[in-house]
Amino acid sequence: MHRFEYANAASLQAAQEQLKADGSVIKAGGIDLLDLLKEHLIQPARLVQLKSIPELSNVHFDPQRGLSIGPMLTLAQTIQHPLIKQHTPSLVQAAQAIATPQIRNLATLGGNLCQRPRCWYFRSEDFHCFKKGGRRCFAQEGENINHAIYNNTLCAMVHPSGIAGPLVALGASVTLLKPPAPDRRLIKTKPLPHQTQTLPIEDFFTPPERSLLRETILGPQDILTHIHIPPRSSHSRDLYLKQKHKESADWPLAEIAVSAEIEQGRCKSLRVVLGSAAPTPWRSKAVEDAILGKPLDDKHIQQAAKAVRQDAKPLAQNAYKLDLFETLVARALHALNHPASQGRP
Amino acid sequence: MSQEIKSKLGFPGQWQETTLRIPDDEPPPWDPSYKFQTVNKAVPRVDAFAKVTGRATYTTDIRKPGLLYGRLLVSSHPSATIKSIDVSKAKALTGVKAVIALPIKEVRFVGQEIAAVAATSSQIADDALRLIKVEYDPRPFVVDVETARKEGAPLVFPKRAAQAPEGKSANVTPQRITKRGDIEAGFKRAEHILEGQFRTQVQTHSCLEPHAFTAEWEGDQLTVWASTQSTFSVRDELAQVFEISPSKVRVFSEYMGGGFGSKFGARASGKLAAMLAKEAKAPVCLIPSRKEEHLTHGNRPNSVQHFKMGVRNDGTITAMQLTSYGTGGIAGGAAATRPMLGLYRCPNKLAIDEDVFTHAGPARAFRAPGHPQGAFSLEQMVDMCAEKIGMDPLQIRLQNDPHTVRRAQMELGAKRIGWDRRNKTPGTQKGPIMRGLGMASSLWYNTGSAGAEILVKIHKDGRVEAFSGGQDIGTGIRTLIAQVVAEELGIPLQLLHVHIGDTQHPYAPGSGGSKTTPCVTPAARKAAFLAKQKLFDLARTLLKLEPKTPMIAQQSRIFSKADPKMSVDWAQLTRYLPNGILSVQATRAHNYAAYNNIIAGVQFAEVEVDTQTGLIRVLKIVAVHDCGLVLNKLTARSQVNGGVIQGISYALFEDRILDPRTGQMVNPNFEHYKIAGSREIPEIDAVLFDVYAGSNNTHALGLGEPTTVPTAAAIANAVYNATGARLFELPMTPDRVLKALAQRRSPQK
Repeated sequence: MHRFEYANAASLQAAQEQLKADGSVIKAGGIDLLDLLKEHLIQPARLVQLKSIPELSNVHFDPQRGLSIGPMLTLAQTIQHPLIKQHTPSLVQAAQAIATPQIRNLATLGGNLCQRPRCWYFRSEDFHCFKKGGRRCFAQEGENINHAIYNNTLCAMVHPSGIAGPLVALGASVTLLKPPAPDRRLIKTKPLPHQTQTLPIEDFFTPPERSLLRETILGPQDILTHIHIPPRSSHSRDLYLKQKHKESADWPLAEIAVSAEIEQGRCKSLRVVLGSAAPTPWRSKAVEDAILGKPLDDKHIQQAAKAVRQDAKPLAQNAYKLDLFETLVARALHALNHPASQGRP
Repeated sequence: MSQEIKSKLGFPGQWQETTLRIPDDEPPPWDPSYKFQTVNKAVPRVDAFAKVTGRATYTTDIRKPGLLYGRLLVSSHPSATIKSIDVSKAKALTGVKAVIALPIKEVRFVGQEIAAVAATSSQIADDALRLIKVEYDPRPFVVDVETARKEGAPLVFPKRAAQAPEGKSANVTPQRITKRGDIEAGFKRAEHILEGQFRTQVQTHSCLEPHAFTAEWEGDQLTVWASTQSTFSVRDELAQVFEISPSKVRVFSEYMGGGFGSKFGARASGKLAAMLAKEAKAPVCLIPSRKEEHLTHGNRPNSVQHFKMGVRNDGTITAMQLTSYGTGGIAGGAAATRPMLGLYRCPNKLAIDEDVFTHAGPARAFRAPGHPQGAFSLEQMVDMCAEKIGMDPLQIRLQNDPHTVRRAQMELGAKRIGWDRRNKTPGTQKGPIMRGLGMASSLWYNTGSAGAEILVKIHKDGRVEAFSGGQDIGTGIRTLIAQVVAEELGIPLQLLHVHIGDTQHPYAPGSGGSKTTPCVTPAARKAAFLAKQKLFDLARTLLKLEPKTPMIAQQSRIFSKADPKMSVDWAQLTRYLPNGILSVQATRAHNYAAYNNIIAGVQFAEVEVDTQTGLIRVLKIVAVHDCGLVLNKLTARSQVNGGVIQGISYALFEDRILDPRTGQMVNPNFEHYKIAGSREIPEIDAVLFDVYAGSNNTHALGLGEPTTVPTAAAIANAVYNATGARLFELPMTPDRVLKALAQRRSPQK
């Protein structure tokens, strides 16, 4: 078995020091990491454990700035957290629908955002695909029932994170701690400070055309430190729906996250994000444009739901996902106006 | 030598007096008037506590001093010539104690065993595997059944090239043809002829406990702990491989975690465990990985079935014709014709089937081989006929099924599911959620056979031991032996201690064909019966009764039938046992003329279909099954639950997916090879139907296999009743359901 060092980081600064050595990787919940290790997809020299840094699990609310969530919060803690429940139900709905109770007890929000794709070709060491430096995407002509229907021409993975969709819909941003810039000073007095970078979460994820070997902008020593969700108005609604094949632990076939401001039965503003649809959380502007400002009645909802078909290029086996997304859009939009339906048919 | 007895056989409403010829020393089958104390009750498993507390030792739990960990190297190519295997680096790795390269030249599927290593830890063994250099010369391959059939397809067995059937590849075996009556005349008599093309998938056994073996040598004596459904076949196979007497091989399987037909014999992993142990001179435990379990350790073949059925307006089915093929990888066994040959009175039948070889892991027997596949097509065809002539699916079955037990089961099941609630016109509910009801039948044949033995020892403290060398595949045979012996001796179950899973105990057959209970329990009853005769002699002496005074053993007392006050307690009597012990071994007799040799069974499904997402939810299954006399109502219900759960999983989820371009399985895990989980399990109403079958002294027949046969077909019929869309392909996944619904809306597409 591949041997590695296991380091408990005492602080963010210490973690960054520990990440400097070649082959060091962050360990959060360890769920995805263990799978990658067992299939020999990674051979890290050192795992840097972030659980020992308490501030990474903090949750704050500020009426002006909104909700700030530490990425080491587990999915189980997310589901239980009163502030998160109160301000962003869709995040709770998404966390609740992930995997099994055992996994939710260990898996973290940060780990869920940063996990590698679950594409079965990527996950098997027998397939040397684009994402592993190979020369092809096996899913294009292969078994692609679970794969992407949007932006799938290069790599047909679907983004694996259940909470990414709600965060994009909620307009969240993330803060990264980055190592100091290269020190080009002639006289080096104090060490240069670590840098932080805050960016919209949409820019955190990288589509295949930007990078095949990874799915986020995270550099080897970068640490995700905060997830911010802007404050919501009293007209705001958000929800998340997931369609799985099995109700028991299963990866989704289709997901939708919607966040909107509703006034007099119409969306004043709206974000619709489709999950398990594309290599990144897929914001469907076509659906948004089709329903924005229009009454949320059956006729307009049906029209808007059909808009999911724009820009879609299903592969040989996954055209059925269009039906699923059309249904999920219709159910989600209906639920915006009828929260009691909870997106049920 | 034998006696004739009159026996009342059948079930309430269908009793018949039958003359049975039974050996002189056999107890007659229990009479329906007999009042059971232990048998036919809901008795918790005697080993339940050990299992739920983790005290039960499975093969994967065996730990011996100096134990080494074995791992397998399997082929990563679907078809290749092996040019060389270099194990030198693996051998040189610290901690590696044995490396064995198998003398094979060709590999024919991904997952074929090539080499094995044993090391001081499983991690080192894993590292060593990666150091073995295999030079492959890859050859063309085919994993898709349709492509494999075509002329010019890469051949799985090139030596068969000359045997190619006309116009087909030599991957196709000669057709097996079974004819009954006159099929042409049957179709001529029909007023309607219906046709359907059905497809079923490959299902892997997915035993929760892998095919594990631990082997240890002491001189030329080999001891093996095996996760097996046939201890004696493991023993005999290993004796043959190592050219030693079976008396030198001892196989243990005290507890095992699922077999479903895939765990007969030692096979490659059992042999390799013993070879590694021999070379390393230390015990070796070899546990295949989950990926190897999926690739190498068995599967249910797929099927492509073309069905043609003729029916008259009065409901008479006049002709049934099934042409089918399927692939069991490098093995055969794909026939799906048995249900149509065995079910229904229709005199004119034609069954044609062929096996197709592909570069994939070998099929093995899998819980009712061929039956779930065959029932899926047959039982939907029967529903299609019923609809065509405007008849209720229950009515057409009652009319065409000659089996008295199944007909009674149908009536009972229909009541329990509320058959009246079914949609008279499918697919007319408002939606998007539609509900429907469906049904399907099953049959099974195995009624057990002679030969199994049981040793019973009665001790002076009143405790009783029973010994069987066989294994418990999960049906609870340990408990059933205890019940039958306790019943016969008239003592409480707590006095029994049953030993199983050790080839030094008396012979028992492998657990296949649902025959463990009908084979083993009659031997147990006979051994107890013969021991009881000796105890009666002892009691008569103690009570100073005439020899041959009729005696009864009941509620821990032995007493005179004529004068129950002439009585001695069990505990008191056993104290007088000469030498303090009474041992009796008995053998199971041949089958008698039974009430029924064909086991029936029928299931009813209620489903809910989300017509916008294609998701099927099974709400309820009513499963009415018979297994002769139900010896234990709890373990029998567990069998039904297990069969239904596996059937739902087969109907909706399980699917071995091979990548056609590489021959690799893309889902060799439990993440993408989907198995029904707790949320997928509906209410299961397991209805057990007692039949005094009379083929042996306990009336026991099999149950394990038929319980999984009709589930997928009943669900498919229920989906049709809900939506009006028929599913011709398994598993019934959302994409297929959506496609069927779309086709129903616009059939021209």
